[in-house]
Amino acid sequence: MRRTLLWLEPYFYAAPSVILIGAIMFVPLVIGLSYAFHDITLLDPLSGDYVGLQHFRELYADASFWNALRNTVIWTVSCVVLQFGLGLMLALLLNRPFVGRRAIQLCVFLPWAVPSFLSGLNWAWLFNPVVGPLPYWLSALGVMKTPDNLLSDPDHALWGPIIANVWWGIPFFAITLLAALQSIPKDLYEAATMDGANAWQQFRRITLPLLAPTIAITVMLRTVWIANFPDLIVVMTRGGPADSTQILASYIFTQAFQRLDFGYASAVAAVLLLLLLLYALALLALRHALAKRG
Amino acid sequence: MAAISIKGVCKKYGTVSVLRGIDLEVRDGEFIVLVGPSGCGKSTLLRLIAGLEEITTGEIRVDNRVINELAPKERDLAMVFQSYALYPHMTVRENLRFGLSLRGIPRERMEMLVQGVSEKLGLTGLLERKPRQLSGGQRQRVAMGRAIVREPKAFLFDEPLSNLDARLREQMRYEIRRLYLELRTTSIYVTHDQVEAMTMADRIVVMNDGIAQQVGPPQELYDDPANLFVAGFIGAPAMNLLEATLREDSGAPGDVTVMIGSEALAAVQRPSSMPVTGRVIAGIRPERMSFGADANGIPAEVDLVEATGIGMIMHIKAGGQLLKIYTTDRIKFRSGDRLAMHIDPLDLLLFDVDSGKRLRPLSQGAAHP
Repeated sequence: MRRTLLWLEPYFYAAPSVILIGAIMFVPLVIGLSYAFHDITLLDPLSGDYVGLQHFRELYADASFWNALRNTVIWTVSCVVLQFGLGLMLALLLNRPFVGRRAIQLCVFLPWAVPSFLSGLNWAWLFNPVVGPLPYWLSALGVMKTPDNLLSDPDHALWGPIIANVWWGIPFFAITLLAALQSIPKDLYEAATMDGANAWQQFRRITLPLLAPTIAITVMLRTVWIANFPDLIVVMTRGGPADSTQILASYIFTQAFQRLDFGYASAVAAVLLLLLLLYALALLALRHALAKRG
Repeated sequence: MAAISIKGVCKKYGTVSVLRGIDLEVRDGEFIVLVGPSGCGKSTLLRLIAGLEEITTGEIRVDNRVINELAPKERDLAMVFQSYALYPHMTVRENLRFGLSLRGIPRERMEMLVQGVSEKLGLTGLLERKPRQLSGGQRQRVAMGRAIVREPKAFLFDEPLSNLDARLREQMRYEIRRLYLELRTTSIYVTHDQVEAMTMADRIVVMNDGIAQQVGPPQELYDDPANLFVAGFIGAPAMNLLEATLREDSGAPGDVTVMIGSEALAAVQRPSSMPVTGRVIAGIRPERMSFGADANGIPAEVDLVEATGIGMIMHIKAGGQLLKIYTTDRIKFRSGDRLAMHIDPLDLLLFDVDSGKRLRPLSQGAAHP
C-alpha cells in the first residue's frame, strides 16, 4: 500500500495542472467532436439525436464542401507562400544596418497589431470603388479593365481576402525570421567571403540552412493558423459571391451561425482538424528525414 | 606564397582614426605578429589586408599588385577567426571543402586535398562530425585546416588562440608554429598576448594608438625597445620603469650618473640628446638585476615576494620607488628584509619623459647597445 502511494506520489503533484489542462483543452474538443455524430440544430427542439456517420455521408455528397476544401487549399497555399516570401525579403532588408532601422522595424510590426476584423473592413473598403482608391489604381495600371469591386467578381474574389491576409501576416514572418537572422554570427559571413562565396552563395549555403529550423516551424504554424482563419473572409465577402470565396473555416462559421446546424458544422470541423493533423505529421516527418540526412 | 607591402595605410570610421599611417613590408614566407593592447588597430589592419574593411587612404600590395579595390576572394588570402567561424550546419569535411567547391575544383582533387590536410592536422577521424561535437582545440584545427586546404598566398590569423585555455593555447601555439615551418606560407598573426608574439614571430610589429611603434625580431624588441610603450609592453614580468634624473658630475668624461631619488643607480654614457630638465625614465629588466645582502650596492627593502615555481618575483622599494626583481635562485628573503641591488650600466635603458622615445648614448648612435 505504502509502496503504491510512493509510486503514485509524483502523479499527485502533477495532477492539478494535468486536470486543468485536460478540462480546458480536451473536454471541449471531445464534446465538439461528439456534435459531429449528433443532429444538433439550434431552434429545433426535436434535434439532439445520435445520427452516426450521417453528417459525413452528407458531407461527401456536398458540392459546397468540396468547393470550400479546394478554396482552402488555394487560400492557404497562396497566403503562406506570399507571406513567407515577402516576410523573408523584408527580414533580409531589415537585417542590414541603416538609419532609422528601429523605427521601420516598429512600423513593419504594425499590421500584426491591427485587429483582424478591422483590417478586413479596411481592405473591403479599399477594394470598394465607391470609397476605395484601389480599383482606380488597378484599372489605371491596366490590371483591371474597369474600376470594379474585386470582391464581387466570382472568378477573382478570393484574391481580396488573400491580399488582406498577406498584408496582415507578413510581419509575423518578418519578425521571426529577422530574429533568426540576427542570431547567425557575422563572422560566418566573413569566413564565407574569405572562402570566396558571393552574396547568393552566402544566402543559399549559410543563411538558408541556418534559417531552416525557424522556417519549418513558422511555416507549419502559419499554415495551420491560416487554414483555420475565417475572419477576413467572413468580414470581406461572407464566402460569396456564390460561394466563390468559401473556405472550410468560413463554411463552418456559416453552417453553425447562419444555418444554426451545429452538428454539420462540427463534422466539417472534424474533417479540417484531421487534414491539418495529417499535414503537421507529414511536415514533421519530412523535417525528421531531412535532419537525419543532413 | 607572397610578399605583402603596406604603405601609408590609414583607416577612419567617421571622424575616428583607427590606423594612422602604417608602413610594413612583409617578406615572402615570413611569420609576422601584430601585437598590441585592445583597440590599437591590429585587428583592423588584418581586416584591411583581408578585404573585410575598406582602406581609407594608403595602399596594400600582394606580390606587387595593388589589392585595395579587389574583392576578398580575388585576393586569395585565408583567414583564421578568433571564434573559428566554422559553418555549424556542415560537417568537418564540408567545412574544409566549402572554399574549394566555390572555386570549382574537381571532386577528386578536392577529396585528395581534404584528405591531405586532415592527415596533417589529425582530423581524419573527425571528418563526419559537426563543429558542435568537437572540442575547442579540434575546432581550432578545423579552422586552420580550412585555411590551409586552399593553399592561399598568405594566412591571416585573428587572435586564433584567445578562446582556448592556457594549456591548450601553449600546445596550439607550438602546432601553428610547427605547421608554419613546414609550409612556409606568409603569415600575419594578430594577438594581444606578448608571449605568443615572442614565441611565434619572425618579426613582431608592436602597435599602439593606430601606429606601429616598432618592428623587429622578438629578441631585438626585447633587448632594444625604441620607446617606453614597447619597453613596457614586451616582457613579463614587465620592465621596471623608474623616474630618474641624470647628474653630470660623474668621474669619467662623457658619463652621467642615473639617480633615483638620492640613490645613484649607475654611471652611463651621456645620451646624444640630453633632456634640459635632466629628468628621464630609466628602464631595467627584472631579471637583469642582481642583489645580495652585502653593503656595497643600492640599498633596498623587500616589499613582497611572489613564488612562481620556476622562480621568484621580488617586489622591492628603492629610492622611494617600487620595482621588481626576477630571479630563478632559491632566495630566502622575506618582506621587510634589507638588501643591496647591483645593476650593470649596459642593462639600463633611458627614455625621454615627454616623448617616451629612447635616449641612446652618444657613441652608440641609433644602432644596438
